[in-house]
Amino acid sequence: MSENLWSKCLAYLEDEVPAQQYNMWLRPLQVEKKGEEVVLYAPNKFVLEFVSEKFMQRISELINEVSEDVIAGIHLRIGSVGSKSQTPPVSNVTAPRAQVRSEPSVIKERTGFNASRKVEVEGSLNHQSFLNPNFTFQTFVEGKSNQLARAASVQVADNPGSAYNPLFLYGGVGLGKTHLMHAIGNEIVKRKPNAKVVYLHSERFVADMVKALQLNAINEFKRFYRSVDALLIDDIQFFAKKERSQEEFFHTFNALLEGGQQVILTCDRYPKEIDDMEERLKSRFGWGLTVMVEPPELETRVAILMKKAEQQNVKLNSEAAFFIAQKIRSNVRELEGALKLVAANAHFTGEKITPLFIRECLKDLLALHEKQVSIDNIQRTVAEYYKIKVADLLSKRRNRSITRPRQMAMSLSKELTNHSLPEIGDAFGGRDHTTVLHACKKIVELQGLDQGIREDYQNFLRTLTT
Amino acid sequence: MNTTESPAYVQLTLNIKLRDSSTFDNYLGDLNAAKVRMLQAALSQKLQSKSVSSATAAAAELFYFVAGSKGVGKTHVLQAACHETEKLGGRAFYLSLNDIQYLSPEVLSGCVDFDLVCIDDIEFVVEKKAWEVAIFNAFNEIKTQGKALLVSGEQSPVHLPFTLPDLKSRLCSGVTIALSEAPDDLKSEIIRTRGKLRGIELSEDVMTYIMKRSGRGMADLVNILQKLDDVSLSAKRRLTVPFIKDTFGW
Repeated sequence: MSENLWSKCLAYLEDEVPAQQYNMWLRPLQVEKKGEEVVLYAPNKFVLEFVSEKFMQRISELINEVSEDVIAGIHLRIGSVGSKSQTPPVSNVTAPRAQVRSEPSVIKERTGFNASRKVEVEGSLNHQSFLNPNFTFQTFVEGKSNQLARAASVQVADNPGSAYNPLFLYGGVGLGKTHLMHAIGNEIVKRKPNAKVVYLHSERFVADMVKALQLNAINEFKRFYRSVDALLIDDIQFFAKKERSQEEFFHTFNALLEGGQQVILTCDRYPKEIDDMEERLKSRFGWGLTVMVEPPELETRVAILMKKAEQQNVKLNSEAAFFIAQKIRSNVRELEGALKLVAANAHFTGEKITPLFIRECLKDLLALHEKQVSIDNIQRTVAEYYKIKVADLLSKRRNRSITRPRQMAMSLSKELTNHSLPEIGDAFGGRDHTTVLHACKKIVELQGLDQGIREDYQNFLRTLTT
Repeated sequence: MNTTESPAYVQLTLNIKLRDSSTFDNYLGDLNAAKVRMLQAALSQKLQSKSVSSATAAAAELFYFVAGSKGVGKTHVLQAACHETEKLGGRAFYLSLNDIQYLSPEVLSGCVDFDLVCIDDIEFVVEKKAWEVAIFNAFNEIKTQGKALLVSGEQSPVHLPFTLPDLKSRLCSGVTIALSEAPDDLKSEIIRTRGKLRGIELSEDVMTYIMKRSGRGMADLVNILQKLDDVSLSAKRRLTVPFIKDTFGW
């Protein structure tokens, strides 16, 4: 009944309001008719205020026109049909004259924590861990780039609170830090089902603390976080510049360590390199074990793809996996995206996944990715890194401080662009293609001998392809 | 009285334009058809699995990133997905970020309660930290709750200089489909068809004339259609080449 009434109103509104506005503000509304009252539900305060200000007058006119029954009042609330609304009505319209009374000032914030995030007092068993059950050690693919981090994580899971406390995992995005963190949490809970393990993103910690302060519940907040057996906080770099949160976290951190409770943190960089973070916190982060998670090398990327394909019931042979892994090198999430694209195409077309099929599926994606990898871009990036001028790379100068970066840039140009060797030679001050070939061989050779060169090369690949 | 002056009164148009809703059915052209059909099929499957088992639905995660330059039809695809969701009994949340100055990141709160969340024009939040964080949090919640998410942008997320690398990497984790720009003849066909939906008949001559004079991007052409829709009613004239010439001063 109410749906029918609302569909009729929407039909008018869709014609009257520009599509963009209709989709953004009116489409998400839901309507419920309670006797002679009509309640409109908005998903949040912002939509509620906007609808109240811009559309409520017209909506109430339409409801009164379209309805066959007498409408005593029209209310606009936050919530959805069937759920208890979270705010008092802000618009109250009485039939037959549509008189909108907006009271945005009475809108309250959504009550502090939703049910699952409610701050529980110490000893309560009704906490939620927010652990993702799919992130376990079994589903984690180990490789050279992450074996140390995995070994440390297993140790912590075996002896929480005593092996390494805190465990600080750091590295770039999408390399598996969060996965390891959840794996430790899941393992602890598996061994001790009533263990109180809490995982949260540092932004959430800050938001919860702000809400607790607003609601005068900071003591409960403190008690809750200090009562856990293991506290897992992701992306600790988000605490930067948030002094009050850092202060609170500092005390929580100390209390947990003193109580022998496990703390696990992840970050995008080494503790000392976190900007706008209190020194005392940075130094404490290094008290336990600090381990880096590096970008996966080719073989690990292949293994990750095979594992993910298996989890998604996608038939992917190693040749096909190698093909994807060679093309996508920056992080695991991008690999995952490429695999999903291939799997979605295979599912849709019913075709078998072969390198040819993958090439076709990834054509657009790779074109999008490679859009900005040009020889110019490579030259600029390399010159900037080695603090020389692009003109030096193109010059005839042959001292080592110039030739090595030049060889590096040539080698990267061969790997990351489709230009021919003569074209690359031309782009480097009109050099012969054999010079380019020599540069590529030299860089391969040096990568085997010099760890610095190897790291530089990998860093360039990541910088230029992400 | 000077008769050459513009008339003091112009007839105001009533808001009775025919509906020009964006649906998968009226997404024209073969160029991107397979990609769009793939998205439509995945969405239908996801929404239908919801009614069978929530566990299955959660497992069948759906996140598509729709990339393409301005005017290739990204907004059409996202709005069509909203229509489709409602047709299948679900609820859709659509947010265009191109008017970001009038919005607050708070507009995203509660979006996870919807079956499908569409975020159009993601490039507008680049380097706006509060927005990036809000979208990052929404992304995580949508994923955790197993809801469907569509995001559009002019470039691949790989090239969008977000201040939050975490957001960038997450946006790379979905199925990215790149929509290609339609050739001129297809653009003409699209505009003529959209015109018909609004009750505007554009002859081949007129369309050829427009294509020769106007910007040929879809956004330019849609603006022209919009203007013609407004002026043709008030001028009560057929859409002829001279009328178009007068209207746009070409």
